[in-house]
Amino acid sequence: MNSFEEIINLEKSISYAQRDKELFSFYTLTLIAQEQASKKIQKKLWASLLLFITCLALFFSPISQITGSLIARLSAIDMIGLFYMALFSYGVSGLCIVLIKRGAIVFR
Amino acid sequence: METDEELVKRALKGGNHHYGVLVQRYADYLFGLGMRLTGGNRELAEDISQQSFLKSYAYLKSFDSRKTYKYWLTGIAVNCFKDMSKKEQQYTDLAVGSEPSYSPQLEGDTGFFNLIKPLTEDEKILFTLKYIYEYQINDIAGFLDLKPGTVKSKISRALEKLK
Repeated sequence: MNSFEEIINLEKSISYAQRDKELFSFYTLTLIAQEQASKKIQKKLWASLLLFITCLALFFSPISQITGSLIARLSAIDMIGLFYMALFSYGVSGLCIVLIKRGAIVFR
Repeated sequence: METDEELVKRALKGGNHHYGVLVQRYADYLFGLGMRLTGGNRELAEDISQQSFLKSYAYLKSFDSRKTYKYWLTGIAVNCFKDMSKKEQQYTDLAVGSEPSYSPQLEGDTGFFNLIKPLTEDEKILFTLKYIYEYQINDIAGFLDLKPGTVKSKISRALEKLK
């Protein structure tokens, strides 16, 4: 066991050093910078690809058909009916809120 | 002199040169750890220290300042060593026996390296961290994501092997 402790103590006393710390540090930082740059380029590439696909989709899709059908659907909507429906639903929900508040006061 | 935590904060704000100070500060420490874990293989030790610094920078945002930077870096280095050992193992499995093999030049005092030779990679890590760097069982368990009881039993098994 003595030799075991001796070996451990001897190893503890040894201090290992990099061959060239300055160069090691410089090289590590260069690698970091390189990785950062490649990530940035990748991000830019993805963004450009997305933009390119969007442009392609816009230019080559039958826009006139899409806009035509959209306008047709919008014009088919009965605006007055829609207004009455909204008024009615808002009225009902308002009434519900008032009733709930009153109920809360009664049961307090 | 700036503390490690201050340097980490500054590096996170975008100052790579602040991280450079940390690299210089812990280059020898990680190299020494690498040398001990690899049994004196200088090239592997350099690779481990470099990979550890690269990983540490990549995950710098997740650094928990409640623990020291050195502690965090040690955990990363230990896991780098484990990954490298796994890769080396894969390559040796693939290598054909008749192929000329690369034998690394080993440096340093061979007494310790010979002592830990019969140990497995995991046991080498545990033994080195416990007896050379004098880390507590709980710290070692934290590095390796193990339970303290498991670490204790593995260390005692390693000691049995060395007897």
